[in-house]
Amino acid sequence: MYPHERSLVKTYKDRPFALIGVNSDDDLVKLKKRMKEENITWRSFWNGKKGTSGPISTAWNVKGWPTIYVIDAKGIIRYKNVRGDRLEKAIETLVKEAEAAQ
Amino acid sequence: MFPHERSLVKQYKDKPFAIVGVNTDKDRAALSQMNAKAGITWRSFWNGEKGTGGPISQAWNVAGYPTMFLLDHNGVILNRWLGSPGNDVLDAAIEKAVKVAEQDQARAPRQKQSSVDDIIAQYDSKMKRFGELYEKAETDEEKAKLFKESYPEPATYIDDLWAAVRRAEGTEEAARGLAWILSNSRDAEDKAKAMDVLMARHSDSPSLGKVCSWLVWDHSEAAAKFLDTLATKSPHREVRGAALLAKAAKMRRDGAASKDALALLRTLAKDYADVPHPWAKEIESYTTIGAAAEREIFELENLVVGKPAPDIVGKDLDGVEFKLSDYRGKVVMLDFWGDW
Repeated sequence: MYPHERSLVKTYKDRPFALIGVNSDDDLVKLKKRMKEENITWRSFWNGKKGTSGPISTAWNVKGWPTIYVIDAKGIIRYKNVRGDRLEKAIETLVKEAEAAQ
Repeated sequence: MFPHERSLVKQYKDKPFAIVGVNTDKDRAALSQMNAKAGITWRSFWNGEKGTGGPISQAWNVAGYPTMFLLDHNGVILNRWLGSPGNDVLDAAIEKAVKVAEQDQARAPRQKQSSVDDIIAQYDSKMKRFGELYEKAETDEEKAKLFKESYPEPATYIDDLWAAVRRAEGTEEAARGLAWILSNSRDAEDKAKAMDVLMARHSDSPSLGKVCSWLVWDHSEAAAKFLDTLATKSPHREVRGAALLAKAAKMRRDGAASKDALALLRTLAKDYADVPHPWAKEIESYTTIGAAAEREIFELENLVVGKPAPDIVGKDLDGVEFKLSDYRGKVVMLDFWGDW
C-alpha cells in the first residue's frame, strides 16, 4: 500500500486532497521508526493502545484492515473500500468536482 | 529355566519384549545374591515375606509354580501356563506376539494419544509464540522467514484432531474438535465432513458460537442450513445469537435485502444485549451480541455512500488533537491502517 499512498499524496499535492489515516498500531515508538523508513508523511488519528480494538475503528465498525473510505469535499461518503485503479479514479473524480466548485 | 530365560532376554534385546517376574522367595537378601550368581537381570515384583502366600500371586490365583502369563503389547493376556509349556511352545508364542507388536509400532509411530483440547492448546501456544516473534520481527524478510518457519499451519493438526475426535465420539470434546476443524481447515472436504457431524450429533453443543462467524464466508447451502438449525434449535442463547449475527452478515455480504438484515439486527440489538459475543474473550472491541448488532446497524445506516461521514475527533501520532471535519473543502481518503 505505502508506495501507492505515497504517490497519491505526491500527485495531489497543492490540490484539494488529503490522505488521513486511522492508525491501529499499539506501539508508537516502533511505528514512528517504520514511518521514517517508509517515508509516511500523511497525518493519522491514533486508534489508541488497544490497537485494532481502539475507539475510532470500533465506532466505524471496521472489521478488516485496511478499510478505506473516500469522502468528498462536502464531507459526504462517496466510495467505500475501493482499491487500485478504482481508487485512483474515485479520487480524481472527486478532486475535479471540488476544484470545479471552488 | 534360567538358561532359557537368559537367552530370551538376550535374543529380544532392543525389541518390544520384557520378562517381568513375580518372585516368591521369602528372603530378599539371599535372593539378590542368587540372582547375581545366576545372571538373572530381569526385573521382578517381590511377592513379600509370605512367599507363595503373598498378595500378587493370590490376586492372580496362582495355583502352582512356575506359572507364566504372556501379555501382548497392549497388556492383553495371550496365554497362561501352569508349569513350563516347553521351550518350543513358549518361543513360538513370544515370537508371534513380538512380531505383532512390531507391526503395530510401525503402523502408528509412537504417537501420544492427545486429546482434542491438548491439540488445540498446542496449536494456540505455537500461534502465540509466532505472534510474539512476529511482533519483534522488523524487516519484511524476517517476517517472510518467520511465516515459513514458525507459522503453525492448521493443516498439520487436522489428522491428529480427527483421530482425537473419533476417540471422543459423541462427547462435547468431539464437538470442540469438529468446530475447530470447521473453523480452521482450508480443505472443503474436511469442512463439509465436520459440519455434517456437528449438525447430526452436536447441534445442542455450547461450543458452536465462534464457528458461526467463520461460516459467514462459507457460501455452501449446507452452511446456511447449519446456521438456520443453530439459530432455531440451539438451547444456548450465545449460540443462537451468534448464528443469527452470522446470518445477518451473510445477508449483507450477498448484498440482497439489507432491509431484512436490518430487521434481524434490530431484533438482535434488542434481545441479545446481555449475551456475550463469541469472540468477547479474544477481541476487546467485541462485548455483547447486542452491541455488535448495534454497530452493524450504525454502519448500514450511516457509513454508506451518500451519507455524511461521522466526524472523528482524536489525537494524531504526536498527540495533537484534530478533527476529520477540519478537512472539509478537501477530498479525504480515510485509511484505517496499521503497520503490523
